[in-house]
Amino acid sequence: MKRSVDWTLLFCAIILSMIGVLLIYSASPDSNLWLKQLIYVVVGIVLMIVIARIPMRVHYSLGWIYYGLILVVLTVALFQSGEIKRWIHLGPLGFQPSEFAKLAVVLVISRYLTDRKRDIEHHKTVLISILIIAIPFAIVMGQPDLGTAVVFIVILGACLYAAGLNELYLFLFMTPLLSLVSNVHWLLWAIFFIFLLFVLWKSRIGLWMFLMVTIGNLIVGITTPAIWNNLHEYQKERILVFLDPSRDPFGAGYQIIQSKIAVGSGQFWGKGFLAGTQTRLAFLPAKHTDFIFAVLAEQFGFIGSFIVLAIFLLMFYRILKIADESRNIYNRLVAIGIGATLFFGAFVNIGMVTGIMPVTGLPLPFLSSGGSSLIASFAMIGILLNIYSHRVEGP
Amino acid sequence: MKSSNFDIKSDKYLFRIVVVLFLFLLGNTFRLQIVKGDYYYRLSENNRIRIVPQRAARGRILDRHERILVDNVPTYTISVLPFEFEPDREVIIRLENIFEITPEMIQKKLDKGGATPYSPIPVKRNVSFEEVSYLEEHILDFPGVIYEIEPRRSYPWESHAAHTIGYIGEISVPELRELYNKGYKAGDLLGKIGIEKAFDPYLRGKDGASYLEVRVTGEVVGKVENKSDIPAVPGSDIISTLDLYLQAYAETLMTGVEKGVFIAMDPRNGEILSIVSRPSFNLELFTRTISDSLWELLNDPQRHPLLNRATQGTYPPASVFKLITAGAAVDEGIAYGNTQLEPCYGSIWYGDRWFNCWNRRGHGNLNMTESIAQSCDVYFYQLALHLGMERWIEYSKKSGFGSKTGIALTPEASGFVPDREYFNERYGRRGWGSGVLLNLCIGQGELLVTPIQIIQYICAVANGGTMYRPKLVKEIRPPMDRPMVIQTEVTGRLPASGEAIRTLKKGMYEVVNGEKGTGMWAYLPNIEVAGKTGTAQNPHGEDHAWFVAFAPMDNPRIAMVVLVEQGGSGGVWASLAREFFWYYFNIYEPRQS
Repeated sequence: MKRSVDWTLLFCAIILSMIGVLLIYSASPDSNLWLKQLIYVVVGIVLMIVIARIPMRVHYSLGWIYYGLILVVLTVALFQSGEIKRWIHLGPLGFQPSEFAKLAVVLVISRYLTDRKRDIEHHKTVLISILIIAIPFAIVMGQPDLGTAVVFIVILGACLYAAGLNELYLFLFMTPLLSLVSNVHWLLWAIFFIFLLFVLWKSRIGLWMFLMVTIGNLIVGITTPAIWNNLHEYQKERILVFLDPSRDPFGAGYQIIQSKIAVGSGQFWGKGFLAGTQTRLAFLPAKHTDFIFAVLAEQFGFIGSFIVLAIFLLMFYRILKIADESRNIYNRLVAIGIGATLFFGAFVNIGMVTGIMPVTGLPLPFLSSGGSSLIASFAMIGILLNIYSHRVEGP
Repeated sequence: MKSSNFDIKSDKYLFRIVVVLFLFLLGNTFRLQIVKGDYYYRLSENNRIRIVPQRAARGRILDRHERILVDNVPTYTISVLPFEFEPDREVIIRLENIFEITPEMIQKKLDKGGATPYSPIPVKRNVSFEEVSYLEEHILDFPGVIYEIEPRRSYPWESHAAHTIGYIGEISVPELRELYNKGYKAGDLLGKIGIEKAFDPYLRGKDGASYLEVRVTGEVVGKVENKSDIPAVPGSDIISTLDLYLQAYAETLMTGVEKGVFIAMDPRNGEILSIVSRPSFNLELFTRTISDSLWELLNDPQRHPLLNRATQGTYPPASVFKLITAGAAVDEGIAYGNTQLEPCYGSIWYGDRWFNCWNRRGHGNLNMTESIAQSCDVYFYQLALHLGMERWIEYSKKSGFGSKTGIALTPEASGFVPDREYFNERYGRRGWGSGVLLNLCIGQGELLVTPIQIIQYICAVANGGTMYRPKLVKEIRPPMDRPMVIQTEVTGRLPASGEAIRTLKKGMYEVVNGEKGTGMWAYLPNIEVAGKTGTAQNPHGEDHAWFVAFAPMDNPRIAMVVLVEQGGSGGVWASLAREFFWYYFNIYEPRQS
């Protein structure tokens, strides 16, 4: 048995997390946030090492238990009193279960798809996988945390693709979303729906799939305008602000303006470490967490942004490589699921900070301040390292 | 079903997607940092972006013919930008000396929370033009202090329908806590009572914003490039069902009344045409700061001028309630319009005591119609004994008493219809007898109603039994959208057959037109008026007077109720109905066509 370590992946994660600590320090040198983050990094690395040594078949057999456990914790968090329903408190420690839910969902979806690998295109497989993510999706939406909820859909899409579901089915899987978007005008939706029927007819798929897709799209297509028209004005406004922050100049819109100023003012070389005026002067809200990339871009400029993006890119290259080299189907699906989770987080977060994505509140993996996200990300790396070291083992 | 094996796909495609998306991110970073870097650098080093709200004008409130009841006038407000405000000693002294803004005032506003630190918080409203000019000239002495133009409410008719129109005020801490999620911010103005409160979400517009580039010193450099203003969206106009002329006329009629209510309603659809609650107050008072002594006056525990007696005042309905008893008796087959019971000798012995008629000399032999017309208590005592408590309670509750009408004005009182449980609890299971029912059936005792419930009932009698939800607003008219017509709502049917209603109407006709009718002062020569008087015993002083009426007898077009606290006999106030109906049929209606 060949045991080895993917040093590149390991170093990418550690370097990114150390940059994170530095940035948090530079954002507010007088607070001890950076020290806390450093402790989380150490905890995360320890957890990563432990996880890297647990055989993957353990995770495989515990898949449903992880899933059940995280659902219970998410539900408990949802039913606690107060405004913020994302946190669970155990004595002095608090954590966000939804961060760990991402990993649990990756593990359970991978297991389910591995078990049903021969029937990947059977309507039942697709339906049950949708059901598996629908439950955590609904709970997290109730928190409410749209960003994290969407991650579950991304995980499912990536795993279905990796499990060999062909492009047509992936497209069909996405159609309810397209139905939703095309509903800006009923005519547009009608055209889309006719196109969809045409595709279904041409592709000669099974009756069950045909019914599922048409009914699913019909439901989305018909209920969307009904739901939209029944929303209160302020609820509509919140959705519109989400899509276009500038509609709310005193809330999200202001954050985006300030974030863009911080990023843009870094120019090529940046203002230098601890010399960022925007981020230091507290102009930028949530600078440690969601807007940490702005802190980076202001102080280290385009060069700094480029380097961090490059490290991320290298990391995703390694993850895909690990998936590619793994000969075990379950491992491969897990690797792809984790890669999708981390990639989606990074892309949406940086997009938000630079003003091209909605304000979702997704943290930037490894860099944003906060223990839950960081430790969960290291746990994912632990699993990837594990998969890498056992890549030659067959299914 | 295609059975596909687990064909491992190359992950090259996936990586290509990742690379493309990352290039997209990098390109955007390049655009911000390199292409527009200088611009953002300037903003970050020397200047700030200040977002100044463009306050949306509140929708107007109009009468049914779109005459203005409530309008807006622009005023100046001095606000503080929490983010830019630097409260050093000098600034504080200057603020206090020149604008009379104390640090406590500012702190109080800031402590309310709920605002983002970049949105200005109004600290002093209705500032004079002189003060604003001074601020404009010396803006550099006041970092973080700005003035805004805010539309202020104006009430051309001052105290007309004051309780129903309502006033607005700055959002309070508990209100903010409740409404924060609905987009309300600290410093917002919102309706506190009346239509202003009930329709606040429509009346309030949506504030816009303009983006200004400001030097650190507070000088405005100009508009931020590429950032176009967000225009303010004015609130929707509210077309109420009130009629300015009928309202004004009713106000005049009620001038001499210290405490009382007048409501006129269209029995064909439940639309309220005029509504007066006295004592009233001048709505203009609420457009400026209210002094403590004035506030005390407005909250006078004796007069309660802010209480809307039409919907919140509860009173014993007195003889008006005999209509419910009579209607129930007809439908239960106990008595009909021409049924005579035992003659009235001025009182009746029941249980262990005498129950008196208001006319101690007695009415003699009367049938039901005559008993309504002369409001004979003894006749209704007898009906009560035949009817029994359960049936009486059922008819009362189904006629809308004991529950809210659901008019848009909140809070609304439900009144009170006592039942067996209530009496058992109050007097003990054996501590009371059917005697209480005798009092209830003539509208006395524990029974309490609101004037709005009474007018809803009278309208139902007038129109043949349809109960409409009292309607105050006909239409909501957004500035740039299709108007929203408020539908007339039927809440139920009166528990009365056609015959019962005919009997009631006949009786009410006789009240006004009969030889011995108690409401003959409401008589008009050309119009057939029907009415009912009520005189409610008041343990605290003189009796409360009621008069309800509708006209004309056939296909009534207007109904009204007048309640005068300590007004003595209800019959006296029938003259008010005559004057109102005279105006309605001889002046108002001809003018409509």
